[in-house]
Amino acid sequence: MEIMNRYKVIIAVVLPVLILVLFRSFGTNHFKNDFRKWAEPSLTRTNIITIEQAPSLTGNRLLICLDTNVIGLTSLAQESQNVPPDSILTKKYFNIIRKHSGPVLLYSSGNDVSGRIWMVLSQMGCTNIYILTSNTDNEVFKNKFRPDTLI
Amino acid sequence: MNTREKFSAGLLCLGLILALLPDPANRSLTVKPQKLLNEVLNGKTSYSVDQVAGFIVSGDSSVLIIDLRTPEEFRNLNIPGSVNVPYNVLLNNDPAIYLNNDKTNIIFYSNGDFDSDYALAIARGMDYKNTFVMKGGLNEWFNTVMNSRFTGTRISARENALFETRTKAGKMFTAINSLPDSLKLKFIRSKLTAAKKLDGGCE
Amino acid sequence: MGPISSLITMPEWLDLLIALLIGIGFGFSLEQAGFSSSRKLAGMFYGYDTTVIKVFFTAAIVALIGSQLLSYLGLLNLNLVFVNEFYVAASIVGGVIMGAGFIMGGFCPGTGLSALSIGKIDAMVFFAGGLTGAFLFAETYPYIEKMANSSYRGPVKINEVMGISAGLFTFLLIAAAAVMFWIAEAAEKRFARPDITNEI
Repeated sequence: MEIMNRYKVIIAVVLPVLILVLFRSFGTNHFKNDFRKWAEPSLTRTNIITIEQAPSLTGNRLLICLDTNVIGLTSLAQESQNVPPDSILTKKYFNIIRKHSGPVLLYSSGNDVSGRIWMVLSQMGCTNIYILTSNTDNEVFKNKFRPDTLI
Repeated sequence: MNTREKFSAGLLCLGLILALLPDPANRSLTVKPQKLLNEVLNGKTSYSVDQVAGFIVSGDSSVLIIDLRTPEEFRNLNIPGSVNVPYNVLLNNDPAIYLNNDKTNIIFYSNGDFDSDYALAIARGMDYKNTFVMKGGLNEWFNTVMNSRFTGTRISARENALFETRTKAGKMFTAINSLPDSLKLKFIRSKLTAAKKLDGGCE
Repeated sequence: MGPISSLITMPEWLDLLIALLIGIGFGFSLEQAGFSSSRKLAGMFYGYDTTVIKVFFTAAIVALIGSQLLSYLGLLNLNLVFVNEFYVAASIVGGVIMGAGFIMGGFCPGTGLSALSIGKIDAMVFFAGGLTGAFLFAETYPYIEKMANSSYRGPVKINEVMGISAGLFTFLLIAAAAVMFWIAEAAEKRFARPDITNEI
């Protein structure tokens, strides 16, 4: 008590700073540092998983359905949850995803929604999240170009 | 402890807290998460292939198309007027180098959707509001623009205009991509110089 | 105003007003600390008065701690903060000229302004000299351009060169400052000049 009284000014300055820093370090409502590190799986394409590959993921799988067209997919995961895309960061849904111990599979009928949401969630420090898609060759060029040989 | 020693001790404690923090030099996205989510889910961040075809045909200089694929893929095929910034280059370097241009609208494309969507999320997360994607990528470009066919006996004015744009854009695409490699490279470089000139000001 | 403008959007005039108020505060504190006295400033180099190093170093450390904490808390984007570009030769030559001018004139540009504002004639002359120097630099630039632009290192930060985090560098700097202040106090005792007072 005596010590605290003597150093009350130092404590009055350092303690609030320490509390703020701790809040920030363990807080979840902001993007984490080093966006490259959190975006790494998108570079190596290890964040994409097909419907056929999904059962091979070990652990308690959670399927997040970003739209209602999910007939036949709920069997891919032990748990599933319908989440409107614009509500995925609300406390209720975000905590479900963040606190889930196994792989989380994001599914939407359009790849763009799940891809963008994957990036947002990853940048907030969520790991073990995958984009569930019907094919892995979305980024493969599927057409044939016939050059004009008269040029 | 006199005032000066207390002050020094206070500063040392604060310095100690800072020394234990992770290095802030590693950037994070600056926009608030919910705001970014709203932006990327907004349909206004995607252009259709028809809209991009329209930009190319009209020679719209307020648009910069960025091809996120590898340099080899870009050399083989690319959308006329586009600039190649592979996704891994965009991510591993400072994206500001490529995106810090508020005079033009930047449209990302790749073969499909994923890479352009990732790039969009990063760009918008760094508060570059003038970034967009071409929905469906080059695969969709081929399905809609290159393989555009008219069937039926009657065509409305709107359909006609769309078909015309697609045909013109398709022809431009074929012309550019049919050039031998050396000429193609020259064309790409001249487009880059022209784009830089448009930028104006200092490097 | 990085920290405040990241919380609320401010009109530009408010930004400038805050800058004005901060400037007034800066000038006020320089004057009340006695930095309008050229004897006090020159005392730094003769050793009998080390107030300058203590005040400016403390200000630098407080700014360092403050900016890093604000950056960590997401209120300030340090990547937007300007970092001086380092030209080795130009820094050395400019430092020598500035140091010589500081001792001879008894002012540096900031404190010279604060002395000027209280009407000191030597500060007015010092300022005229400073403006002349700047003019001469511009006029002779074609001849010194090569030297001025040589050995360019870019906007480097010391902690990057040392390979440590910014926070650790801050802590080491604070520790170094504490040692330096202790040495400064010892020097004041050793080189005391009771005949030189701070009376104008």
